[in-house]
Amino acid sequence: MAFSMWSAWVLITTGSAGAVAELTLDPKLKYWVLLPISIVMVLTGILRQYIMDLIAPSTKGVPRVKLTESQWIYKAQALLTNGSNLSAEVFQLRKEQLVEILADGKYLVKLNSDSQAPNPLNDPNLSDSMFSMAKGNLASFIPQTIIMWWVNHFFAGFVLMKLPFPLTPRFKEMLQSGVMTADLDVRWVSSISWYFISVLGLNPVYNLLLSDTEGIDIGVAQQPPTMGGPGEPQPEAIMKSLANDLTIAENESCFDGIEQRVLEKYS
Amino acid sequence: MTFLSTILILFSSVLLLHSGFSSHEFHQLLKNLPQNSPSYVNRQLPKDIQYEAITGIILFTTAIFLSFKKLTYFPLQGPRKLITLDQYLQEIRMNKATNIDNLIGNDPYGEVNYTPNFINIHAKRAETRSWLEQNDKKEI
Amino acid sequence: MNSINEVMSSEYVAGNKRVLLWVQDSTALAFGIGAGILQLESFNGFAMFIGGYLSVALLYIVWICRLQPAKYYQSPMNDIFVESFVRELTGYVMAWTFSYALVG
Repeated sequence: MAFSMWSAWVLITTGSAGAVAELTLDPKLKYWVLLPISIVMVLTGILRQYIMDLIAPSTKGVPRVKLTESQWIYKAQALLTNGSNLSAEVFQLRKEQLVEILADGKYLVKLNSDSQAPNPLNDPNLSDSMFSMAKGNLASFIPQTIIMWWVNHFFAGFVLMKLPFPLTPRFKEMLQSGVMTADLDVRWVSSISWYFISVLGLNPVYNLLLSDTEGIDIGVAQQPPTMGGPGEPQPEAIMKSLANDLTIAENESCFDGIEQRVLEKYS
Repeated sequence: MTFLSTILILFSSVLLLHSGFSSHEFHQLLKNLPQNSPSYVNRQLPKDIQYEAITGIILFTTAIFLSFKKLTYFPLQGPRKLITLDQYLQEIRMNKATNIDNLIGNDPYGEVNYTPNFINIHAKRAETRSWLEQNDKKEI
Repeated sequence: MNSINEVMSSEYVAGNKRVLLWVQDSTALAFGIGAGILQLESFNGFAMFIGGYLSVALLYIVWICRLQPAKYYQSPMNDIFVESFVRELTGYVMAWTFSYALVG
């Protein structure tokens, strides 16, 4: 134990464990193993990006009645928060109209027939989003598994390269899999470790190669949250409570005595 | 991408490639030496290759930074001349971010604000007609 | 009036971050390739990454942000120095290992 601690320390400080065995590798390894793996990984990443774009769920529309309903709710909320920017009579007019409409439930979406709570698993929106998430996971998962299998199957059993930095012997099991040497330095690694390094480090490369596709994502994230999902209060209840709030809302207009205040401020 | 930065990126890539190839050849030669010869023991990359690689990196970084131009805007109204705020990035505070729209006369909410169908066209025409009549009388 | 300064244009926030990420990604890869060509090992290589990352960030603040990063980023320190550190480090290590193996 003490010895392994010491050797790890030596590894970290000097970057080489005493005398590192210098192996002479066939230069063809670079051109026929290292480069193909890299190219395949970059190309797969690009292909995955395009496939994700293709199977991305198209922007779904919300039914018009649903939009109208939520817009009235937003309108009432906006009046409640920003009402002080209106003069008293204008506020009064709006208040009366909104209270009438909201209390009546004039623009409520009429649910057809069955009044029982909808089963969340049967809701088409929800299952659609779950399905697209599953597709996204699959699209990133399948290629990785395939490439890992490919690397492990075709390029196993030899030392591919030397890492420029030392590692503790604990990595030996993982990075030198298939190389049957008991005490080879951990810096000499097999091809699977190049796979791991590129999986971790390819993000910047994808960004440089596909940088123009990232801009598209922004618009999708800004969809307004839809009202009335499972667990949220129903729009009818919201409208009723908003109507109540509005009827008792006091309006203190910012225009009250504004001449006096401006004169005081700038005199 | 400005022209200068494209040239610099190409040039620095050539520098990096060339220094990489030189370094590769150097290490190939080194491997053929016996391990106890003096030139193997204090092996070091020749200075010129080092300088070449470092110059390549620095030039590449400069080129990346040079690839950004100051943002310019073409105004929709007024004199046809490019406006620049002497900035590379857009300010994020909403009250500053909308300055650009004001400067170039752009209305991002135009589809809501522009409502020609609300104009009472008959009233406008009547107004114009009466104005014309008055002015015609004056001229006579 | 503090609240009026807290309203951000989300479009420009994302755009500025993308510009920064592009600069950091490309320079991290270039520095990695350079480190491989110079055949830097262990500590020297990581030191070169830290040096390159910091100098690019400082140059970015001076050149692109005009010494006023707070105008363009919500939390300048975090956005410029911390957020993409691990991402750039792994990218750098990949480029470094790649060119180290190709050259050596």
